[in-house]
Amino acid sequence: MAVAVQEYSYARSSGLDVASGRLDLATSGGMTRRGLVARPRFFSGLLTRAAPSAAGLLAVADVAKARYDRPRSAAGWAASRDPVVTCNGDRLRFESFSMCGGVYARLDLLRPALDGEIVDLGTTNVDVNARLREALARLGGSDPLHLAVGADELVVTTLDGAVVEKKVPLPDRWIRGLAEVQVIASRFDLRAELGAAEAVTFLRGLPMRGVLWMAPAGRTLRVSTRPGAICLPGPGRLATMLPLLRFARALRVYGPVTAPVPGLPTSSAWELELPGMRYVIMLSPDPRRGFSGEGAVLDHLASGGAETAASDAELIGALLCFQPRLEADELQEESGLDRDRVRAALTRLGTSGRVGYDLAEAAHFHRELPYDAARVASANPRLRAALKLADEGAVRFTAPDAAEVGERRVRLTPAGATCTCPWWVDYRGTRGPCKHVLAAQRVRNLIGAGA
Amino acid sequence: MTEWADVLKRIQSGDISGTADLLLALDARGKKEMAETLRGYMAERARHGWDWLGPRAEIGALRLAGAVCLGGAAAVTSWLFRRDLEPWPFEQTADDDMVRVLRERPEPWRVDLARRIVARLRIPTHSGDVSHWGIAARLLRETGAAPPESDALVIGWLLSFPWEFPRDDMAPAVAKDPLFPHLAPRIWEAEGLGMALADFQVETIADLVEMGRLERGAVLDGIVGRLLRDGPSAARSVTGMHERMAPTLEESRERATDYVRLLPAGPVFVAEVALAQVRRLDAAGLLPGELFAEAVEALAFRPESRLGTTLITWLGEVARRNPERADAGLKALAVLFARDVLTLQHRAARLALKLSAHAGDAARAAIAEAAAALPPELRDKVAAAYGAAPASPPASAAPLTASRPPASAAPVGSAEELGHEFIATAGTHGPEQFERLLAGFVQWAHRDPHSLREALQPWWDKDRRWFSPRSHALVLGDRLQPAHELSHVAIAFISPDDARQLRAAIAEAGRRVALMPPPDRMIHERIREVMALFEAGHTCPELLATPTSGTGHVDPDVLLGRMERLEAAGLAPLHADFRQALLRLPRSVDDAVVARAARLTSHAGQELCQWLREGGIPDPQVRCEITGDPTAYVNALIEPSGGHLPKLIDELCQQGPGREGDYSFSVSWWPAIMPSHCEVTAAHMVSALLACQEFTAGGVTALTALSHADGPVGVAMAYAMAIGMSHRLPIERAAAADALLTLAARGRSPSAEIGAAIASLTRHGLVKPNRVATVLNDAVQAGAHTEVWEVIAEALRALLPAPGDRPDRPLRGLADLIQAGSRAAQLSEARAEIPALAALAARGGSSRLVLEARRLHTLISP
Repeated sequence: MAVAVQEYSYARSSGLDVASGRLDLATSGGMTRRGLVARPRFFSGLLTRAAPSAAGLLAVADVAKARYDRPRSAAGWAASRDPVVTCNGDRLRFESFSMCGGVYARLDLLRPALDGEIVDLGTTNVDVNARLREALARLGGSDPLHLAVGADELVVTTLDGAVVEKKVPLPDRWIRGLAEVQVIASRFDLRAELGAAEAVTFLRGLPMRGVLWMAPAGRTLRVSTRPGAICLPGPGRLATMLPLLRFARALRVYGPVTAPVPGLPTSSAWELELPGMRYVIMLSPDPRRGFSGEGAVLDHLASGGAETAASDAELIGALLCFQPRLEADELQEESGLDRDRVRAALTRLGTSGRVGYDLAEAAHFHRELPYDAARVASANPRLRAALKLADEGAVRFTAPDAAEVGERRVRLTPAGATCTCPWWVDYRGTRGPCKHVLAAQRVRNLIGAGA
Repeated sequence: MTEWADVLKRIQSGDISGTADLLLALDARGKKEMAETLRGYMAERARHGWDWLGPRAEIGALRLAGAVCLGGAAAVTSWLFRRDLEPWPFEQTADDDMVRVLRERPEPWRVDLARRIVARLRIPTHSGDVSHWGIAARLLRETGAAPPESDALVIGWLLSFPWEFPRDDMAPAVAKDPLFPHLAPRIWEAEGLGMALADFQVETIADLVEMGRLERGAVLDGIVGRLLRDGPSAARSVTGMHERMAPTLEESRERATDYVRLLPAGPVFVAEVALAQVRRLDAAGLLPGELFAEAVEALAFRPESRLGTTLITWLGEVARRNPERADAGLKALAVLFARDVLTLQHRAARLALKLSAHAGDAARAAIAEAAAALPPELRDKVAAAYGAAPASPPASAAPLTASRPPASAAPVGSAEELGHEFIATAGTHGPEQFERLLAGFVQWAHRDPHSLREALQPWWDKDRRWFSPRSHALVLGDRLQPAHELSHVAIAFISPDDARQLRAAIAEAGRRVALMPPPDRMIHERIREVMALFEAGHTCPELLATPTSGTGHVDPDVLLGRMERLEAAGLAPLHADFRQALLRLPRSVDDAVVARAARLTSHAGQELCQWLREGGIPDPQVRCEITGDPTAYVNALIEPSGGHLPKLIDELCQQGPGREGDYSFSVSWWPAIMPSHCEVTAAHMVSALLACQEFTAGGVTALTALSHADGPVGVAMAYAMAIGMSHRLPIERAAAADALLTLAARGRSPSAEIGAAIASLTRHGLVKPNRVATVLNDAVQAGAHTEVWEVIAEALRALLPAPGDRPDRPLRGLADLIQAGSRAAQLSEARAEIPALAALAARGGSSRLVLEARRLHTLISP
């Protein structure tokens, strides 16, 4: 498995001066409206609600260094990847992804919480260090806090030699997982909403482990065994929400509308509404596995029409300008493509880390992850194995929609494909197509294209 | 080489100093050659499979050998960190010898080696030592180099205190350590500090502070900062350190803000430590007003009730001392009103009443508003002092919706599909799929045996290699495993000879079918029947008993159609199949159906007609008795109501006492066996559920399926529900809640019987009321409040001691049950007379049981 090394280079460490109420977040290189900038500056102004903002930032940082698949391991001591900040014009978004690749967290600071000047739009990393965490925990009370994301160029030049550089390994599967999250989120819908008091009781009463199914019961949720309920795999992974409960106004739950295979766990998203901001966590279907193997990306990459999707994605990509909401209608008009192709293009952009999905707004937003996600998407191991099978000639079609791939039997029906391999039996298509199905699909496309 | 042989001999005997002497005598070239030989030796060791379990005696000597002979510092570091040379904890690691042999290397080289080793140190996962720390420390100490930044080094240093320094004089020895000035400032920033601060380390650090070698202010700042930084993952040992430091009042005052900020988010032991300091400051009058307000608000929000009681005590003291702080205190009390713990609500309300004289306007409004969450008698008292609360909307109950009945499975479309699905799901299917596959086998073996054989061939070819009748038979045991046994049907179809051998082997292994519970025997008979059919080389067009609805029922018209087709083909139906089909008929049928049945001519057809005309079997009588000796157990007794019952059905309708330890792997198959007589199924399930109450495979999900069945509901169902509601795991209890909700939605909930069952089972210690209470709470929230109230009322009538009795020790969990009763009674606005409850409420004191009883009594009194 390839492991790229990410290098962060900050002008200085992020710092919070509690006495004077200044929070300075240092930025490293990233894409902005003006192109690639080494240390962009996004925002300078006041955070109207300091305590919840600080708690939210701490929660995002906690997820970044958490390792939920092996809770007692010492891997939390390893260097964690810094959160990503995106300035979308009317909001600031802080995103992080856990070390185990199973939890995605995002804090959105909306217009009511920000009172200042937006300097530039773009995406970059922010430095989160131990001193900053200590200072954020020290913050409280109701005084506003001055926030600066990125430093003034003048200030930077007057500092001498205070550069902070970090090198963090970035496994491919981590980047792939981050891309999967967006594709999976775009298929979610609002399933339940709890008020503040019910949210507090609910979150505090959850056990730590197990895969729970929740059904609505009055104004709250209860554990249930009925199909079609909301899945909560590994409730302990919502622990970063607990310190935020004192500011909570509501809890919203998102999930797939119908479980594709009843009984198998699915991922879900949990959003806490705070004053002027939102904190959302997405959980993978099992605490012991991350998002990277979910195969939502593959469903899309291997389907027919993949060739046009690539060029469509480029076309749409050129229209992106760090908008907070990518309206499908506007994109249709500007690009001249129809709805389905726009949607496919957005999915493709999501797999290469160029758009994210905001569940509360039910729309995509533009941000450019500072990782090389496109290369990683094409190096998907399952896709590679499938292409190898196809090239070796292991696929033999015995009927228009049935094939033998090695010693596995694949059936490609319009309703969905099935296979007899044990992996398929375990997951029944909830994690995307297996390599045999992918190989059969590819060979069929080639035959169809050639004929 | 003779040299190598000598060295090898010493290595293998574990003679470390001997090896060292021999190797140090070599010249540079000799060392290089020896290094090659060593590598070769390690490779050979690995090939022999001695990776980690090889001769341990060699390890120390091998490490030393590599340290002497290898050239660069990087090479030596890799050698020392080899997995197959890893020294086990408490193994003699010969660190001193290692350092001795390394002394001959130039100093910059040793510094480089030390740095490289430090870079590779890792903090241990659980407790333990930092491996290879000893070498790194000794090298650093000898060379006097400044250690690089490494948390693992700091942790290793702390962990080494009891071993490296004399125990009775530790602090001065630590202060003299060359590493001390470098590592001491970084103690509080090292990850993993929690595991490194045991008593030795805490005492030593405290002594060092007293000696003046560590600055007190810096240490306190470090501790408090560490607690802040860790937040919810703070370690208990760090708070222990804080307590040992015993900050003075002045030091506490400097850090007052930090203590207040520690209150909301950390674990409870951190909050307690911080609270102690805050209270101390407040008692000395050194806590500013805003900090006080923030502290009480944070405390009121915390989930732990013992902190809530501490808060109330503290507020009482504060109010006496500084009445002007009463406002902030009252706002915190308002938060406590909304908590669900009755004892806390009472104490908070009492204090609020005491402070009512000092309340400001904002506090008054907050209390008045929050009082809506209090129980009625408290609410009135508070309203009298603070003004009436704004009318809150009455707690609305959720509408009770019936859950969808399970969906019926479509028949299998083709032989290929059957083969595909069977292979894919072998051994893992549930009851619906089992029926589907069994029906599919019979149908397609008749219609298209050739394709079915082709479809199954790949599976058989693979399975045949491992197939051995004897091992299959031994695996089966005495319990039914339907998911597994379906493969025997497939074997019977593809290879009747093997199936015959299998049957013989099972008989030889002495499987005691008579020990299976009767429902399992029915399934077993059906499988054996089909197997016998295939073994004899015959086929049958279709099975009669395949359900047409998800609950397990067979539509009478469909059944008649199947019978007619069988008659037309001149075949008799399979025995067990026919009986099962009879059991799956609905309880009442149209006259037209009876008329159609009358036209059947075969023996079985006439039996079917009679069954339809009479409306099936008369409902058997079901009783549940709890016996006390030797251990408490529930006997669910079934007696047929008379009349002649056909074979297999009579077994199902009869059950005597004394089936101890009856459990089954296939309880979820049972509801579909008798979908029109759910009481009988429940009676069978009682002992299985009781046996599995603490196990993960509890089988309570079968109750959910049972709640969709038809037939009179009575005692057995009540007992089954009560036992299911007391399962250990929340997931299984959720299934019981679903079952209760379904029954309630269909209007068939045996509430009074469930209450009585809970009472008798609790008295005998077979269920736990607190677990049952969680299920009842969930059901109330989901809308079944009326039924839940009936359950609890009946349970309380039977559980509570009668008014005249001497009060005995109350049963555990009773307070939870009464609390659930209050919720249910409030939503359903119930009124009832429970004398025992009145007696309990009239008792003095303010224990939780009495308070809950009072609340419920007030609610339900007319």
